[in-house]
Amino acid sequence: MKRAIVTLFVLCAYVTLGYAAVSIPTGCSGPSQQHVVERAGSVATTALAAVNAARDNFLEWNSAHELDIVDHATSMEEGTRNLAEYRERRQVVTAAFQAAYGAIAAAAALLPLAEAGKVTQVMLLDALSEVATAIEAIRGAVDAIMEKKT
Amino acid sequence: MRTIAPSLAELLHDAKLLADLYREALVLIRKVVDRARAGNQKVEHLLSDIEDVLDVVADGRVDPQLIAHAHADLKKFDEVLSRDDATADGVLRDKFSGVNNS
Repeated sequence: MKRAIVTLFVLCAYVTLGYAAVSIPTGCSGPSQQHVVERAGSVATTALAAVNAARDNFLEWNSAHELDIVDHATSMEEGTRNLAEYRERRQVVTAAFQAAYGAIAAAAALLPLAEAGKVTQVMLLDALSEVATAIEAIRGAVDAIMEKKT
Repeated sequence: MRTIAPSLAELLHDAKLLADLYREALVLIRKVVDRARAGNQKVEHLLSDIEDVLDVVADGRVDPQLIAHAHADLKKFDEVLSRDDATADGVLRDKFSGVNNS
């Protein structure tokens, strides 16, 4: 299951770099608003692919891990308790995914506003920054739950 | 304006319908503000910003594909988790009830 962690790390870095690629030129007031919006859209799309890949990896691990808990249970009560404990801890992961998808959707919603000049590039970058932060949070949550297991 | 992003995320479920509702609410808020304010530019600016956002949302100018994908992808996450939870619960029950579904 190290594969999931590695994939997340690579994708997270990719999105962060994409965010930087948008933010760096805007500080020079060089590129047009249209260019920034296009790059931001590209980053948001990449972020969605990254989160989906992380989601699929986590779901694969989650399914195997739950069956592993069941396999190691010596009684119905123990299995039920361990599954419940694991699912309680898993809520951090599900919340992180919910936050990431919400942040991507929010950034996507800001794109046309930025294109129309109704929100500034800084606001758009803030939204992308929140996406990057949310993806980082997924990585942290998934790392933590995979390392601890049950 | 930083609070607008999460607000927009909350509008995903039915953005246009909610935007219409919010627009009606804004009209009322604006009437109240017009009556009560004494030239408070800050409040006025905030309302204007919110209206701009609602205009774009209501006109369907948001990127529907990306937002819809994010929404659907999250839904898939929840569905698969629920399915796998049910599977694990079922395997556990079978293990200790001696039932073999295969």
